[in-house]
Amino acid sequence: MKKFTRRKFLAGSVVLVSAASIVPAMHKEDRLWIETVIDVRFSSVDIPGSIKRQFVDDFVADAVKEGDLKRFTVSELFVALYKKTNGGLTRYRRSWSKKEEIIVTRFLLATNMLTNSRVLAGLEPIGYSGLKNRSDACGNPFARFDFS
Amino acid sequence: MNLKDKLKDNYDLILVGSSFASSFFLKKFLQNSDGNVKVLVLEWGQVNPHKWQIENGENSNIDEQMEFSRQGVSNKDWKFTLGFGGSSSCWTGCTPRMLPNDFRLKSAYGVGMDWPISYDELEQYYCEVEEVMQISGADDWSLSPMSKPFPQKPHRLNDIDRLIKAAYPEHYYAQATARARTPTENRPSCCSSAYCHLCPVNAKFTIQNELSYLYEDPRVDLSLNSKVIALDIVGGQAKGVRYEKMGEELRVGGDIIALGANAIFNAAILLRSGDKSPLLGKRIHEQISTTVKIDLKGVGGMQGSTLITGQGYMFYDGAHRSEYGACMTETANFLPTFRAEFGKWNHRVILTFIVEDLPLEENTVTLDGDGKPIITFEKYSQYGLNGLQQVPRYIEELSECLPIENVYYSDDFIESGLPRSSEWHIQGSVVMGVNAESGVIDKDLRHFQYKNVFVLGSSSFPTGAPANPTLTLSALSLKSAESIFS
Repeated sequence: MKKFTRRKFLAGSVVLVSAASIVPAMHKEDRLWIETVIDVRFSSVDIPGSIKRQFVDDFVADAVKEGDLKRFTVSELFVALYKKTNGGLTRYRRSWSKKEEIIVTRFLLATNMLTNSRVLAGLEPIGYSGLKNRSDACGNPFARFDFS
Repeated sequence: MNLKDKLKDNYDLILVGSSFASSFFLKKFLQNSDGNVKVLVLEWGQVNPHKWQIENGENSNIDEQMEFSRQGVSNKDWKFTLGFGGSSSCWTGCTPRMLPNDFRLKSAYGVGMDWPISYDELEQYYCEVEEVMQISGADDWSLSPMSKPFPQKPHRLNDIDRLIKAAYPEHYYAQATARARTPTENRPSCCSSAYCHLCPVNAKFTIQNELSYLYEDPRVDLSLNSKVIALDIVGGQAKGVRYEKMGEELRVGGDIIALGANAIFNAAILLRSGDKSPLLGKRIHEQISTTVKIDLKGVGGMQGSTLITGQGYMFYDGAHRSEYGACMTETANFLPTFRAEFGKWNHRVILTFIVEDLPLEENTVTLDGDGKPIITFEKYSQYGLNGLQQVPRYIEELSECLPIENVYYSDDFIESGLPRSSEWHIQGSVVMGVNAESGVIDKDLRHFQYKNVFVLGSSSFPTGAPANPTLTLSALSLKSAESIFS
């Protein structure tokens, strides 16, 4: 018969307690990371909750339409680590940074942050115009023209 | 357009296809002809107007990939558009000229072969195409003689372009492009949408928006949905064309026949016609390229006024071409995705490095038992791949003028040193040469064997310079049509 020592008992308890906390953290969320990316990457900007919610709704709806939502569905643990590292986590895998960049890009293009310089300066409120389709005319907010 | 179902028995000229090659040939042919001449254009597809293309999110109702099969290099794609206006619908509108040494690769660097035509012979036709397309280009261009300035001023460079331009003033320029900088009669100016294959505002030159008037000329009949099968060859001369329309095989007679399909179908039509030219179907190729994403410290881009703003010739011409392919760079003015770091969103550039590939005999167009073309692409040339392998060194060199933070190569390039799957520039297969041993057609694009047959387009290219082929193939078409009257 195996001897059940105090040390083994303690070690087993630690494993069980850790597992108990990790299992819920592995639960996957399809909205959580999208929201968190906006929170982390735009922490210095006062973004109204209504705009954030509308963007996440639109993003998720579009991803469902494109059969793409799975790509952005991550575990709570991943989101916690992402938040803890202030976004630094994505540096460790190209596929993570690509997805993060998609979220940031679509958010920027859905707002007037890049087309109205007063917005980022905090002089005017952020406006939300909806997710852009890449085929929409003139989608480059940085473009400048000289017709002379 | 003079759409015709009931055709005459015989035409002075039958043109196959309605893309750049055919349309520029037609333009010059009509200019030089009197009012009695009769021309038939047989177009495989239908007219899909710009509005239709935008609404449907595609350039054509025909899936071109179903019209040929491919074997060999597994990731190699061949892309084009079937339908009225051909690949002018899906092209991006990049129109650099080839450089003088691109025409004389063999004599200058001892590799590949020389074209039977020189830059100087083509120069006036380059100017003519640039005028028709209202090309916007650099006003300080100095890498080849130009007898006329570009019709439109250059597009606005972005800040990254300006840094490279400062380091390489004689080898970096605003790209020559058919994306209008200022509006033409039929097009608005480019709005930098970066969605050129379905330009949302119809700003790039297409056959539909600038040359469709040719197909309204009373001398021209246009037959749509007409897929050419073969030429009727009798006694070493083409007497007409066999084609399929609505499931029926039909025939029409012609005195001159010009094939302006593409490098797959020009070869296929000739092969189905029984053409035994030794080089027919051989040397199909494209340039090879890789796209690199580069993060920059403190420098933002994308402030230019069109999709591709800068064109680099720093690694293009020179003694290295005796060992590996010339490389041209393109600077994208828009990113698929911005950087995620706050305020650094545009501190990134996409550079594409486009390298010439040497056409190889074993890369071919042949036919299957049903007469459908098969592209067998056995391999890229070592010359081209060696050129592609220089890209990390080129980036190292560019780091002298660009504050590079991170470099991201494509997966294909990292894993196997391979280029991206397609350049959208199918070339070779009915190459020009000085005689029937070195080519299928001569420098006027006239068939060596069938003297009343012209084979137009980039299928004629004996080598594959990095420069995009459209301007050159259009200029060749003008020269070819003019040769009929000289």
